[in-house]
Amino acid sequence: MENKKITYIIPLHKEDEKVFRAIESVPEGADIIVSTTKDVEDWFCGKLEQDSKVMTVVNDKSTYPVLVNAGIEYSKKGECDLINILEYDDTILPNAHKIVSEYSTDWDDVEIYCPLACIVVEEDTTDKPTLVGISNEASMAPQMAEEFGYFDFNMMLKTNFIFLNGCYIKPSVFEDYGIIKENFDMFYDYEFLLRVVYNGGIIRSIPKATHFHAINEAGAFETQKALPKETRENWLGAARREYFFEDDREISFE
Amino acid sequence: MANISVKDLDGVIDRLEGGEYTNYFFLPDFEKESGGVKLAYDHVKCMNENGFNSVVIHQKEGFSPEWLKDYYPTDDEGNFENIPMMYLDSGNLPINIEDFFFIPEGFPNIMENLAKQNAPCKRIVFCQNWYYILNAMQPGQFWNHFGITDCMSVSQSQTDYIKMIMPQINCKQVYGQIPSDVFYPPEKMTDKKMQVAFIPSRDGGMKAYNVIKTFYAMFPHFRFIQFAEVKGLPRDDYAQLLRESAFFVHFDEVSSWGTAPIEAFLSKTLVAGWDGVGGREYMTTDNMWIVPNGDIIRLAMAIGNMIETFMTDEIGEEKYSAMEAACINYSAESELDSIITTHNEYRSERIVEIEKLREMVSNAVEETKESENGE
Repeated sequence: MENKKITYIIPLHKEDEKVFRAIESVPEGADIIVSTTKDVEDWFCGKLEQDSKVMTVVNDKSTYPVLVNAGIEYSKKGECDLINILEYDDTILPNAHKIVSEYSTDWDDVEIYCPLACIVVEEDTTDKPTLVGISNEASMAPQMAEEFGYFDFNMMLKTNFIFLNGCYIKPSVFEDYGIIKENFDMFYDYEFLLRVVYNGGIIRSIPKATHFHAINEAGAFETQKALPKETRENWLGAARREYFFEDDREISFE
Repeated sequence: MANISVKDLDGVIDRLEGGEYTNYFFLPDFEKESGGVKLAYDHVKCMNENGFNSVVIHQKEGFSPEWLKDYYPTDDEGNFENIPMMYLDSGNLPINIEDFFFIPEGFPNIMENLAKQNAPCKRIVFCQNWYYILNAMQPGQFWNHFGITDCMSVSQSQTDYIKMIMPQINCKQVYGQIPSDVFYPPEKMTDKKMQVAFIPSRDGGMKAYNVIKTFYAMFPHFRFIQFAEVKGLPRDDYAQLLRESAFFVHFDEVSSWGTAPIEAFLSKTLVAGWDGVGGREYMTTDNMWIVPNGDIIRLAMAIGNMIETFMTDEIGEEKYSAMEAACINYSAESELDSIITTHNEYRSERIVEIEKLREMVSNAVEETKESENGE
């Protein structure tokens, strides 16, 4: 089985040494695009080794969707089978490419592969940090769906926090269903995934872990928790607003 | 046997050498599916297909296990092909000195009755579960008290146990087979679900449920893992469940040799569990996550470790190779080899016994003649 060609997009909105740990964890042969801001560019490029193959794309804005979209846009310059959005403080597990290559070969019709993330505490810097959790909806959702393993629309409406980070996405997905909505402050990944399944895209879980996701202040979940409940509810409603119809809904004109 | 002549015994030896004798296998009248009964039926069928006349004996006249009709072809009258049946209650079993009578370990009453009736045949225990050997007997009672000297055992660890408690018994080992055309891996390993198949423990499932609850409490982040209970499923559905599950947990503390882990190995399903003593001949740390029998806490931890190892894709090929290697002894070929070897040995040993008896009778006749002439 041949390993798939994968491009990793790392959005970097602030100076943080952990990004180098993330870069180092990416298996050999993959492309890495760090999508960062003008403010962080000098610091990052200054620290980068001269012969580094990491590609850098620089943006005016520092919001997460903007950084991700810029990375996606830049990735078109290269050719790859799958795109992965990697948080700068996460790390890829050594067997990730083997796992993803195996599943994407066997399940070729799938457009987004959603593996499990091992949640670890940031302070745990050992080679094999203690597992404190598994990304929950990514693991629970496939059991709730009508067809085991697939993320169907009904299930997606019920579960509202499925990480886009860590998913392996075919580049054609962004052509077919669009990119991340930059006007969303939060739940942009939820809105994106809802949009994909609403329009018939196929998302399937991979019941194996491909990366460590560290719990710290940088995580979106932690950021969101700091916001007022009403704000969170409004954004969640906004993400769902356009997609409240089931795709198989029968319409009666009587 | 009191009035047997040398000529009669010559006939017995001829019939043994010519294969003109019958192996009777007594089996309980179980209405519900039983792995032990199935294994014995497989054994009888295999013997008949390979030149050893064999018959299944049930107690009640007309009894036939309905559930076995899913496994064996039947003729127009509903009789199993190559598995003739007779009944103890009919009272007219044609048992002769050259015949063999196999009795399950849990039926000392049958052993005792045959001893009381001076049944002329060779009586052998067909032992399928070490746990029932002494449970079924009175304290201090052993098989040799019923004139039994031989046992056919289905696992090495069970044989070791028998040698420890009844050193005077001769044991031979036969293998059962797990059909690899029923239990086989999925087309793609990526078809495996994060699902744990299990057969409830013998205590009505109490220990199994306790392990599962302990597992969920210890590993709350694995709450998405489903446990699928195998209960009353037809064999093909059970095989399908094993095939689609990534994991199997073996909750049997007192297994004969443990067929389910072999079925799981053939399905490329990872196994954690207890060895049940009977499984010690093939269950190792190389092919499964094994913990001491009955240890609920360590089994819960082993399940967590197994899932984590699978999830991070750290199961080496050597694990799957070890699982495959463990299945070799339980193939149809292995079953056939062990059955033919064992029953040929029984026949040879019986011929030696009859020859000794013939010599004794012959000597006794000579002595009688001499004493008559002396008078």
